[in-house]
Amino acid sequence: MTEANDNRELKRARQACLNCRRKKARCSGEKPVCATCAKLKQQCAWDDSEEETRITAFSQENAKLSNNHLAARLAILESKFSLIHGNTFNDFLGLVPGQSQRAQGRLTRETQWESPSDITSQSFVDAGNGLEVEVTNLSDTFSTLPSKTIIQALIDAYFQYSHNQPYCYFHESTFRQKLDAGDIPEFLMFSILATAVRWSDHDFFLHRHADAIQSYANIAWKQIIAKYLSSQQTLDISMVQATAMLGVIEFTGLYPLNLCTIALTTTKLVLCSQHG
Amino acid sequence: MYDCANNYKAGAMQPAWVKIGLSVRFAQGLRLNQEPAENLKISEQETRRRTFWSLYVLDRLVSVGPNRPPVFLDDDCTVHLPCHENLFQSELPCEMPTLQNLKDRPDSADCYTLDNFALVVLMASVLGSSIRYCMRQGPHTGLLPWDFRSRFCEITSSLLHFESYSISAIPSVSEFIRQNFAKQDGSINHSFAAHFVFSRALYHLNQCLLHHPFLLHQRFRSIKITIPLTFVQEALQRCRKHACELNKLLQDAREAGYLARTSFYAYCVLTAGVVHYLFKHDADRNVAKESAALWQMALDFLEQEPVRWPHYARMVSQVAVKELNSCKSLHCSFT
Repeated sequence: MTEANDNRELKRARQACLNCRRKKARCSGEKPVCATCAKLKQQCAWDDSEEETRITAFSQENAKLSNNHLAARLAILESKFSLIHGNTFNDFLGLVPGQSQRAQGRLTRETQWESPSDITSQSFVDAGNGLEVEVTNLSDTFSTLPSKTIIQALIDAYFQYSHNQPYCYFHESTFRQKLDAGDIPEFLMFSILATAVRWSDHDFFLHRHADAIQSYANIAWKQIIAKYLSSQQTLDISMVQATAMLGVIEFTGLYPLNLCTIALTTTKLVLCSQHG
Repeated sequence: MYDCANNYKAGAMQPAWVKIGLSVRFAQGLRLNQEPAENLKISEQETRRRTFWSLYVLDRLVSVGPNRPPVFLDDDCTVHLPCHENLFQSELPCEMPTLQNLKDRPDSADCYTLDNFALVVLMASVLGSSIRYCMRQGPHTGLLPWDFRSRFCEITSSLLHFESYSISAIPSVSEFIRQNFAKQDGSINHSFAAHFVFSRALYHLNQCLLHHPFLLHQRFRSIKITIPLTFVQEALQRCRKHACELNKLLQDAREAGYLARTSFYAYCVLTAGVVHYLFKHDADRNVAKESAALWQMALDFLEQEPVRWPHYARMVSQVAVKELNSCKSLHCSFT
């Protein structure tokens, strides 16, 4: 079953129910009763062992990684992994990223949204205490801090669109003073930029918001881990703020679907438990 | 029992949990859950408090999924609640109660001048309790929900406190927002208005979850005695009422020019939407008609908000309809 097949209009399951398998018919894959069995009013049964094997293999791989006590490496790998499967989910629903949206009388301007570029290669180099991640194909545009003007615009966007909605990490005037004095740690800068990019209409990010967010977030994460794992750990409130922002980006920024999936999973959990 | 695809998707959020978990550990290392040193500048003290409470709220919000208990325990949070936004910005001191004060003495004088952020914290705390209560697997333990000494009633009364603390008798939310949070040019100051709207949204969400027909049914299955009809009818009424209020809140806010950008609104709207979807088939035709309209409004909201994520939003509404349609027992009678 290739990915290309999932783009077809007619639904095709990743796994067929026992009846469809026996008849070698197309199975739409709905659980607990697929469309074919529903139509024929027959008992729809599933073989769950295949799915379980796949999931067990995945978690065994995870266990191996965490046994190396490199929580950071695990997080980076899983970011990459979740990114790839995020795209697969798009394909599964037959949606092409960046489709134009309905024109509405909205109060803010919309940007064409796009999926992050495929990550083709990242190399990991264990360098003693720290971890070096070489990102080889995300362009250099987003591997450093942008210009002062762009930073200023992003900070403004942050305070307008993200601050207090609902998280409050900064006293605005104090923050701006520190910014002017160059006293904001770089990892915090990158975290804020990653949070604020989505609200920016600047040409610098045109059609590349997702790349920028991912790149800034990765840089921030790498710096935090390096700082935390270094011999002179100086725990600072900015590390709390930055990590929380990165967590939120991961949780909702690229995948706002997650929250709704949780809501639906919960609903289905309760419904299916009634049913079966 | 689970849809395996959904389970797998939840696994894709692993990195998010790692980061949030790390943030929590950093916060605990810095003792942000305790009052800051008094020799710090006032604005810095308050920044530390707000950072902590932001993390607390985040922790509660991400814990709405199954098998994700929140990390912070209310008893450990001895830091004072956030002060008023105006005072924070002006760097003026303000003595605020703690979360425990609110629970122990809900009718004390300080409790009536809570900032909206403090109300968000309160509702997040109740959300944690509601979720743990409603989603707990296994047979029902403890006192029956209609027993006034039960956990259920305890949570209900916390929600009623919210109505006392917040300005509940507002004839028009949109008017209130325009009067209190508008800038000189007439546009809405979102960072001022945000906590006001969010605290109310969480309030309605809590009420929906606590009185949700599915979740109550799940809890009741193991109860041997007959469930009092009055209890069920009142619960359903409340659930529907608050689902409607949630829709109305967001609609009114939008009218006033406030855009609900926080991602969590998607969860709130979807929860309310599911309730409306159920009532689409109510015997009372007025109820059915209103519910159908509100369900459509919920889907429209998911398509339009959060702004800037258009195709994800479309995906969400498609997934929502697909999932709900595939649930065979959706139309089983619960009334």
